[in-house]
Amino acid sequence: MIKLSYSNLFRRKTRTIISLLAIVIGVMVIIVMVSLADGQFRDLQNAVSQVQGIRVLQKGAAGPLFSEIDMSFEQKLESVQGVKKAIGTIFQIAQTVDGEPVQFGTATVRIIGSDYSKGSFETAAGVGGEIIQGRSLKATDSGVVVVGEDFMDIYNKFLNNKVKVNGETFRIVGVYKTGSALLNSSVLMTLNDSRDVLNFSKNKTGQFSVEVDDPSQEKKIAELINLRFKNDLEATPASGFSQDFAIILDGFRLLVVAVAGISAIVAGIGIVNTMLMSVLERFKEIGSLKAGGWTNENVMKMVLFESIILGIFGGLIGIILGVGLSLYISFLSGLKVFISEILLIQVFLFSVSIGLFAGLYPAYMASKMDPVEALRVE
Amino acid sequence: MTLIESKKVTKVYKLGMTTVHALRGVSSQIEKGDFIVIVGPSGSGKSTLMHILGALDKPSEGEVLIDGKKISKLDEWELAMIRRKKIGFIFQTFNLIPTLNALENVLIPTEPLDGEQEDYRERGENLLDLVGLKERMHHKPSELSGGERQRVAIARALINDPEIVFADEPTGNLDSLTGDKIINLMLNLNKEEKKTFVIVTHNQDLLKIASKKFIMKDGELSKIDRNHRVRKFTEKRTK
Repeated sequence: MIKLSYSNLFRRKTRTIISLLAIVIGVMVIIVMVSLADGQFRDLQNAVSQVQGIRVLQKGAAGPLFSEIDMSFEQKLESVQGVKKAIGTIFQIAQTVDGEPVQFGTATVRIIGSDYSKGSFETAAGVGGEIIQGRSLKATDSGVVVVGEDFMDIYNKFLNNKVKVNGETFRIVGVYKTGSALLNSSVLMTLNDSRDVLNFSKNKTGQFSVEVDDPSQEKKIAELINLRFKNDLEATPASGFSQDFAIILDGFRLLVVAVAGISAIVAGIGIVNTMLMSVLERFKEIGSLKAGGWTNENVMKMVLFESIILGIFGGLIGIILGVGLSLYISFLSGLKVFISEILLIQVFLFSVSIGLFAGLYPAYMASKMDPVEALRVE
Repeated sequence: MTLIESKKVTKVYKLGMTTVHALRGVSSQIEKGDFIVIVGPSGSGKSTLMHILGALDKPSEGEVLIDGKKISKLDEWELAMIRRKKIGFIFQTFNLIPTLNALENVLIPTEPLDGEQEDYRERGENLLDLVGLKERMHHKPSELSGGERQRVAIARALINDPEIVFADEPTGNLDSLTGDKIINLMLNLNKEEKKTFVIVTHNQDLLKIASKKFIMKDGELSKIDRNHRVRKFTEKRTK
């Protein structure tokens, strides 16, 4: 019976291929979107999990890029109970590197200026990770930078090469590496140098990274800072913005599910149409099957198998193309993708069940055909 | 032995707005080993009678007994089972499945059955041999001539070893020479395999070889007693 259903699909190859295409595209879109979303999610999680402490921005600033705080708050913050250090940090996106405008995307170059008198590379830069070539920065450094390993690749640099950032020339004295692609193309420099590059006045910083004595108290201390400096500053514990990311990504996943739903409906309608047409065409043939002793259930099974086979093939082809396309997009753009086996299994079952449900009505129609009526048609 | 008996069977169905009285009280008996030919013009009700006698359809009134069972009492599933075990059908348009080869087409009625597919296969090969298509059993219908396709259909009608085979205009789509060969094949199967045949046709030549002859006219079935009624039929036709 399965073989018969299978061979029935080859009668009208073009029509079968078109309805197959509907499922294939649907499955492909789902795989590409989910694998990209998951890839970005994992990358962000990686990045966020490496950020510790409390981030203090100017009150009302839309984000670190728009924040400017007077250095006098350094001491005021450090006088808050439980605060170990308040490290002045300037965080900006670079305009030009070696005279070329910086492209946005994963390879966006961020300038991170930090006060290295207050701490090591890992904590001061706020990116975590480790030095893999050369050395870290010192508070007394001037005109030198430490860059991420991706930056070295993108701009073809070697240790001790010169690089122009926003028109100012620096020497690369070190290379770092983190677990996250988002953080691997930054340029780290001293707070003073970053003031020059980014036109901050001497007594200003962009933000403070606040380290606390007891990390479990981060949330409480952030609240305390917000209370005490409620007119000037806004503190967020690192754990807080990791939740923000999660909420944004959950929203995106919901969008993916909606797209999946729509493509399922489109593909389903395609199959219903194909199967109905093919059943009506075979009116007489189904009549003769029944004359040969086929029961209504037998006919129903045959048609259902046909549409389930469509779902199986659509799913398999869609998965192969979807995985291929995801990897290709990742290769072209540098965006990370994450393809889980669970996703593939879910998508496959999804497409098979589209086949099953879309086949129910045509199969019922076929089974209820009156053989006498069918055989009377000339 | 009576295989199928009809008692005052009427069939009324609606075709669009009009009510068609296809059968008006048909009584008949089909005995084992009969080679029955029913002639009649188009629309005389002969196909309807064949469908009702073959358990494809139920009468509006009256009763059809197959092996003594009243078919009006049976549901669709039970009717399918009777067709599966006792009845074979042959159609004017062959109704073969174009994507399957001759052997696979012959095996189609066994498709829903449990049991040894190998046994059915062997039986299908033997039947194709019997109808003279041993060499062409792996050809698709499109690669077969009209006569060959009807032979495949005959083999298909016999695959479940039915007691009786109904044929609706089996030679209608064939030239007369090929048609004669098909009729001869059915006669041989009747003689040698003891299969009962009921052929409905408007080709009155077939009356010559029938063991029982009937004429269907306006939903009424009459037995032909030699020349008299045949002539009457001919007169009607030439009008």
